[in-house]
Amino acid sequence: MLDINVYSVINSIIGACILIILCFFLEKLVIRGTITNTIYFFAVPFLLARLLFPFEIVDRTNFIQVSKFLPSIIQFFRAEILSLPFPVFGLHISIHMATLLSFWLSFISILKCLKVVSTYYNLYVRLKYISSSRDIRTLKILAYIQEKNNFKFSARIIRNKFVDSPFEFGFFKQTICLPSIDYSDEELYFILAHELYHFKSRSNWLKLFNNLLAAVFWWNPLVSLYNASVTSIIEISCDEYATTGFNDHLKAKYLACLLSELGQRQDKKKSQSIHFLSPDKNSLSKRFRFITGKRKKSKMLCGLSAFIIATTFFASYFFMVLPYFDVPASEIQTPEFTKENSYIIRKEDSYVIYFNNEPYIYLECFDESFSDLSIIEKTN
Amino acid sequence: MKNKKLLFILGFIAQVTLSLNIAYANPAYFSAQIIPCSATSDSEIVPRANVTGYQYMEINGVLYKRLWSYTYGRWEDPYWTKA
Repeated sequence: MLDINVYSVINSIIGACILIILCFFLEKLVIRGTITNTIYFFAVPFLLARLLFPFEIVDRTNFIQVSKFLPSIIQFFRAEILSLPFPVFGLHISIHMATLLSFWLSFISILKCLKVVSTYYNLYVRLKYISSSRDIRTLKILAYIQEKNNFKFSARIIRNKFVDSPFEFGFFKQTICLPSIDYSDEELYFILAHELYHFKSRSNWLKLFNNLLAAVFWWNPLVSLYNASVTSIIEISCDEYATTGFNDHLKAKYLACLLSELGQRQDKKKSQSIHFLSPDKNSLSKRFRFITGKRKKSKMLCGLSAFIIATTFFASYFFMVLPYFDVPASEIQTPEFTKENSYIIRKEDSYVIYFNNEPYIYLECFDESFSDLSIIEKTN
Repeated sequence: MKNKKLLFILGFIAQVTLSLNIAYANPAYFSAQIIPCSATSDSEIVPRANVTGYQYMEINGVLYKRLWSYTYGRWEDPYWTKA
């Protein structure tokens, strides 16, 4: 049986964080060329599933109870900030730290998601009215790459002085944006092959998903780092495709082309240029390491990595981290019942002993040891 | 060598994750009976992730018990009842 509660949601985030940490290790293996990038992307649906299905498997979950820090944190969030003195529609409304925090987190997440969507939309609007390039040389190279790789989708090329570095855009119709630079045939081939593979691999959808994930979980630094990691691996997978069959000389030229693009991007002022959610600059060093490294895939490591991802995903459902609140000593201290602080309410055959106006003991039959206390009859 | 290190770390993480199932099964706390599910009444909805245990107190020579939630830090039973 499945159940959702606050702690199962918290533990789903913990499980997702563990998968993200695994992805960081996988990224290093991909850069070294030891495993394929497919294994890295294999973790993405598991990460998504862990976040979308924050269930607890009842009676199968093992609880890890934490007595330090976590109870204090929970107590802090349970603290009542504001309580209305009068009921509203019969409800007593009180605001806790957790309520305030969840509203604040949600509000910022919504703003960030809107920012991501508006960035995409603004770029779409800016590119919509720019006419396609009619440069025959560029179109010939584009057609050559499409025919060579059997790409069945069409792509349009835009050249504009406000584009600071090549990028591709579009979920259903691909647009490749190039700066107004006179590229050589070789450079054009490198750039177009790289950008076309972005569309072929549908990496734009993954980028969009990751940007939205980073917007929703903006408060989690691991998710931001994961977003940068995924962006790097997407670029690396396109580089791998674009440099298939290249010798060292051609690889060096490809890297020189990448470097020259980075230099041009740094020359232009950011506000004056069209750029598409600029990727992490550190990803360039990773791409260099990948292209220049010897790629010897290990099938065993690929299989083991996939196994570890799947195992971690399923295992994360079988344990939960919970706070441990020990019972306060005052709660189990034997009270002294006197006529001033205690009384008994009798309802039919049962008795409830009240201590300091709070129900304290329930008796199915009267106990003579409480005979000193006054008895109040309660009828329905 | 570096691949082996990474392989070791990955395997270690998987081992820790899997072994949690064994290591943390039914943790025992003194004077507490751990009950994974807490049900105070048939009609009341109680969260599942709730580790509870009975607390005992002697009043006038009679032993009483009351269910305490270690997860939520509150009493699950409204009163002390005879053990």
